[in-house]
Amino acid sequence: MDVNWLAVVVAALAGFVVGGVWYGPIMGKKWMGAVGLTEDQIKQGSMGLIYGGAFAFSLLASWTLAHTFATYADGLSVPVKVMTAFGVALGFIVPAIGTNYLFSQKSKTLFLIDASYWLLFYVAMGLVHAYLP
Amino acid sequence: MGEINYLAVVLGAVAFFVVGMVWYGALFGKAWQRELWPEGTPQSTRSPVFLFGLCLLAELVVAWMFGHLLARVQPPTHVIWMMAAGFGATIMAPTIAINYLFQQRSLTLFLIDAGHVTVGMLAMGAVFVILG
Repeated sequence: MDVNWLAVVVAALAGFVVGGVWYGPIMGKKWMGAVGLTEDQIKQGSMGLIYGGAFAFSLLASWTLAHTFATYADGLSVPVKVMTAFGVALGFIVPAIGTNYLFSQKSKTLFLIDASYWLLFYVAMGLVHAYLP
Repeated sequence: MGEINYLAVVLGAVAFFVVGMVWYGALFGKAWQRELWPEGTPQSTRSPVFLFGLCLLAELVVAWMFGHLLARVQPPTHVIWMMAAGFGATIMAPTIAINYLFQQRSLTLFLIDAGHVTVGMLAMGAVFVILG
């Protein structure tokens, strides 16, 4: 259960920063179109709840990755840890949101935007946890 | 590093799939449709074979990745349960949560979908436990 709490927070923050860039300047407009939200609807959302909740869940995911590394990947090299984080996203998250979006009839565009984000998020987290074991 | 138990991979994926059928059918089908489409469920343009085939394929990927992890780590039984529950509840569910927060989806929809992946992963984990 020994995790580096600083790394847990920094990795969650790193994922957040990647999200800010990905859903901001890079994919922001495309994402809005694919989700079907207007700028007004987005502004009406409770920002405290959305960002606070998202950060809390990022911390949970970050802790899980740190715990997995601390328990099973002790002594693995940085690239292997980053690959493992990428594999977690590719093997667990992408299929999970894939089936989810498939049955809720979301567009392929939204799936690709979100799936790519999660791969980037886990690579960012993997890098932080690999360098701050 | 041990061998991947491919029988458990296939049957684990099937177990996940069956959980999905019951979850989005008898258990929460109506609630799920109401949350997604309050004005009535639109006709899917995809054939059921395509939908369910792709779904099973995705669950095979998950089960294979899980089997690969177990083969590397070779954990005791209680850890297999913890890993299955943990990947469902603390890897997949947070992803769904964050997506839904930004998409402004309801808490009910999150609970249905997060519950599905958690219970589905547990069912898959059970197959790996039973088949050793």
